[in-house]
Amino acid sequence: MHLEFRTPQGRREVTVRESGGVWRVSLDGRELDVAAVSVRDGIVGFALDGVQRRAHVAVRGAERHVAVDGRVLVLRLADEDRDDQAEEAADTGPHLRAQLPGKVVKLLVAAGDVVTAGQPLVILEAMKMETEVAAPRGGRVARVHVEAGRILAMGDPLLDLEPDQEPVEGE
Amino acid sequence: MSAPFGKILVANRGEIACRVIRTCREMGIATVAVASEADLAAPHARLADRTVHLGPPPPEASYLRQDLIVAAALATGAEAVHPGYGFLAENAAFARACAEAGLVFIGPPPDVIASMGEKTAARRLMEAAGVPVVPGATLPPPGPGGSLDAAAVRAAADAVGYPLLVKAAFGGGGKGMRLVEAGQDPVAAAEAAVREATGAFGDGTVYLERCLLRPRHVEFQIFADRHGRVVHLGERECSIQRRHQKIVEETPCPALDDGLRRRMGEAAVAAARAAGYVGAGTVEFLLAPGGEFYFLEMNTRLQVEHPVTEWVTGLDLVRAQILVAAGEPLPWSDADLVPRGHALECRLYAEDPAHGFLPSLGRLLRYREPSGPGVRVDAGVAEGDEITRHYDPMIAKLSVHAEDRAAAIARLRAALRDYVVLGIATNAAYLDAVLAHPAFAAGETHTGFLQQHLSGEAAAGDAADETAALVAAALNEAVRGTAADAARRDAPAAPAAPAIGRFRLKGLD
Repeated sequence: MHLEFRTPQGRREVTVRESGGVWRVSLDGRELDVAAVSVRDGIVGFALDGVQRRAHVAVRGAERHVAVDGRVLVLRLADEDRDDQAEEAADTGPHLRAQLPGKVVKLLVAAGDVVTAGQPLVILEAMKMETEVAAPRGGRVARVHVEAGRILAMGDPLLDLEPDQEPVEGE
Repeated sequence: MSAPFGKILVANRGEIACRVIRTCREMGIATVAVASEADLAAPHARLADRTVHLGPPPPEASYLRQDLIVAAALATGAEAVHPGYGFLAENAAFARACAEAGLVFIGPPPDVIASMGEKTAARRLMEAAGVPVVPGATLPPPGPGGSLDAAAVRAAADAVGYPLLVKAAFGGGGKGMRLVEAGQDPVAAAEAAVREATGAFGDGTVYLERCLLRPRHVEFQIFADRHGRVVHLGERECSIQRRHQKIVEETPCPALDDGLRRRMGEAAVAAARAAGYVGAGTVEFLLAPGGEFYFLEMNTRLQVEHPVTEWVTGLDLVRAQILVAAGEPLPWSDADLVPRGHALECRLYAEDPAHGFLPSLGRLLRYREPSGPGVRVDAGVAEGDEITRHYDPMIAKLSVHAEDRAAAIARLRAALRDYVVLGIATNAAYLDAVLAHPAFAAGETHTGFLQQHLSGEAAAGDAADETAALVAAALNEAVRGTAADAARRDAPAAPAAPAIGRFRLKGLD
């Protein structure tokens, strides 16, 4: 079985083969020393380089949440990453969306404002704490979708950010 | 011994409601829980004998509705109300409302709650009782427009000494607070604080307090009954704080010797006597590096971090709260109050240290608690629960007991490694980074510890072993069948409905 994962470091390819109860696992084409595998109810036991490990794996859509030695890593399975492309588009597309549910406390910009990357745009409140939403890139605020006091669900559009109209000379 | 009450209403949610309900159960007392719409299937609502639905999720529409809670207690036949901590626990009006309705409020008398809630009044009371307070001075109320007598402010500031803090008399949360270093103008800082305090609290009265450098936060658990007995159950050090929020607590404090512990304990008992205290309370002190200590404030409730005291004394503080509220004497002899070993607690928060400690919301895909000798978990969540934006992000407290401090640190780190929380981010790796720090191991803690040692990049803690995680995820896929099948089987088709079908609500209509 050939699997492609997206990790915080980038794309990683893992191949898993089983024959006669022996598992062979390779990572990016390099064979790993993996032995003594047991998988049950999302709990995976194995030895990696002779060291016994116990991991928990939970599934949410394309996400694979993995806990190993008290540390957590969220991987994305690339082959079933249909949402992923949409999400990637959202990162660069005009809509800026709420990354967590909460209440809009304050709008710091208005339609027409030119903003720079990292500039605070909106203050949200969730779990009794205020959080600033900053501009992921520079641009012009084309449209504001929310007002102070509005309750947002995760993924609701906050505002549209488009490239600043100033034509870039040269290039 | 027959139970002191037949039924108790627990006016709280989360881990503290569960913890109180457990002790009630052991004492043969029936329990009534209260729950907002978001919590109808929460662990505390499932654990109680009965659950009363309060209202919509926001606290002001549910857990802070004094009228609904008193009505629920009366309608369900509860005789007493345990407020837990937070919400209405230090609300004198609520304690009064309970008494007027004929309910026993499990806490100190309302006027004690009120007097300890006002900082300058508490300060005056402690000074009169001979309890050391942080050197400071009160300032006359500001004139119209917020102006102060400049010469008087300068004279008072010079007498207090620098660096000093200007603080709002009716303030909290850092508002109306200004730091003045030697050479800076105290008048400008005081007038700025007056403006901020007027805006935030409707009263511009400010006072001056010496600013201690690198103090430890050391608090004493006190307990008083209605028969004149006041005792202390030793100290807790809670210096590891992020934005004034404690995250690691321990007892004993590594900086106390027997002499200092005795002097601070006596001061804490004197403070409780001066306040006319009844029940469980905490006297907080700042401890300077030279061993001088100063009264900070008194908390008139059970503290979040009470398990470390329970570990080393072997006592159940909630049980004693209930007995004292019923008018019985404290159930302990002096010999019961001798601590043994070392206890440590850390607070697990639903927040992401790698992304500026942003709250992390969502469903707990997997939740497995550690266990073993000397390991205790106080949790208010279960696997499958949704962490919502409405309440405090603390999901659990993990505490351990061991024979000495080094063994306790090792035990807490091992238990943290075994704690599995998937689906939301937590501060577990950050807590581990605190426990692993050489300065923590050396007991060199103070309230600026996290800022000094664990800010910025270091806050994220060690990263996971990516190779091991990839192997685990790939093996899991291989055994589960093809990845595509797996996706179809597990992808949530629609947001799952809250699991409230499993029990019937017997609350008020």
